[in-house]
Amino acid sequence: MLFAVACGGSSALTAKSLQQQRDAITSAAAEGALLAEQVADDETTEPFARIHSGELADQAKAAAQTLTKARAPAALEAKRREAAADARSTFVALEELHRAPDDQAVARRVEAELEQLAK
Amino acid sequence: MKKVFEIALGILAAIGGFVDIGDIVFNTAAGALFQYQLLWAVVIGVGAIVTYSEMCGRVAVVSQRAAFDAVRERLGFGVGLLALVAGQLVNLLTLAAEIGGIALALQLVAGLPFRVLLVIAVLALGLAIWAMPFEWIERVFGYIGLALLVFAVGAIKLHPDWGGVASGFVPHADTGDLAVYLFFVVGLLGAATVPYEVYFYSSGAIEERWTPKDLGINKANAIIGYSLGGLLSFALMITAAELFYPREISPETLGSVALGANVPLGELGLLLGLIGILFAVSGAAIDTAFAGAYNLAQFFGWEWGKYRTAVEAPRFTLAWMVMLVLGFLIVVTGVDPIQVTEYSVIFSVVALPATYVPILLVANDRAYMGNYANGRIANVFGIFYLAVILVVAVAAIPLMIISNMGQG
Repeated sequence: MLFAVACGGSSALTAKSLQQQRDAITSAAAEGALLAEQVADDETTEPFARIHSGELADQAKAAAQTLTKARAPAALEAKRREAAADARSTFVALEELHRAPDDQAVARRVEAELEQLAK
Repeated sequence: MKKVFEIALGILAAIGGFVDIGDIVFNTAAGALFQYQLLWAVVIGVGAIVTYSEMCGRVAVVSQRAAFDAVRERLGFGVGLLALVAGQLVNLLTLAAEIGGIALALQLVAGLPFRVLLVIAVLALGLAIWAMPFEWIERVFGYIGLALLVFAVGAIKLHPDWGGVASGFVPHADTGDLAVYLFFVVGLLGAATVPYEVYFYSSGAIEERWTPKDLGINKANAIIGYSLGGLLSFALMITAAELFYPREISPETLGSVALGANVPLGELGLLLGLIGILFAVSGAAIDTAFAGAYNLAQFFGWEWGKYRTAVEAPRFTLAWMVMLVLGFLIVVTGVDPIQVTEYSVIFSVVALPATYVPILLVANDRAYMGNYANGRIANVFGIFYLAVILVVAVAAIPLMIISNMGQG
């Protein structure tokens, strides 16, 4: 809702904005894991899984783009790179779910990956 | 059964007004961010809207004049015009958001492209408003919108901590970011009391041709209808508190809300949740389109009312059609419907006193209301909630800035 934190551009990251991006990634991954669990258990519909995983993938992609483009002070650089990698992994996993929204085996694997990323 | 249908206006006003796309996502976000801590704000919001809807329904019944008549008469032409322009802008923003919300809900059901569904949504709305009598609009959108009760079932099935839920009804802020907390308080109160609800409700009383013998129905509509809206708000917040808060999920889309029905209740829960959202948001779109047309017609003294034919009330008919087209044009530009709604709620909070003060004044005017003027209890509640509304109206914009629109 109000918490879209993708800023775009190549702005300088602060500890606060980095944490906001980190929170956005965790949120997308955790919600994606919940959704993937529903797909794996055959407890949801194909259109819902496809559309909603696409929305979550967009959120992860926005965070990945922001983190990749942003400049970070030396003290935050390692954390920026780690967060950018997590954002990309979250995006890739959600995209996989988006492309195969009724494949229970894929969903089970994606669920496990996203649960790891959400930790 | 007749009695059940008689409270349809309150149900539609509540389902379409209290539980629109902004409320649905706002309540869910509040639960995800603050767990149960903001339940009390919903109670205050319900109290305010019940008090003022009952009052403006009574004014409409006794005087046969709806809320915006009172606004113009009490504020004069100049200030009344300002209230009209502000009200119409907020109505339009809200309508745009609701139309977008319908398309989003349809997309989650059918998986078709958003813009195609946007066109289908606005055509379906126009057709429903044109073809259906007022009572049937109330019944269809109000009662099918009750499918949202699936969130109450889901909330119970998630086994919430009832002690924690109970503590949420006592105002307290156990949070590091007070500005964000207060921003959500303002948002929840504002969303519960948006002006279009009372404009629609009071005009609906005249559409339904209520007379003083229907004042009991008016009271029942206001109390039962909005309390039901409050119950749905609680359900959304508790569901989010159980499902999203522990996982640090920040729900940003309608899909996140629907997931709240999917996880505890499976595919059936998801479908019922989506149907409830679809009809509630459609009801809200109709409320806002009508509220815009009612306001214009009542301010300028045109013939109005759905009970009149398009030939009998041509400018009123044209007004709701133009509202629909403008709402469509706003959302087709690609703006995020949910963000539009959040902005419209915050800006409508600023305009609240211009709606609520005239209603309180007219409801106290014995020359106008005779024996049906406010009694002591109505005034105690009316003045208390007006004070709350004034504080919220003053605080809305500063809190929006300080809290960075709730982002912290």
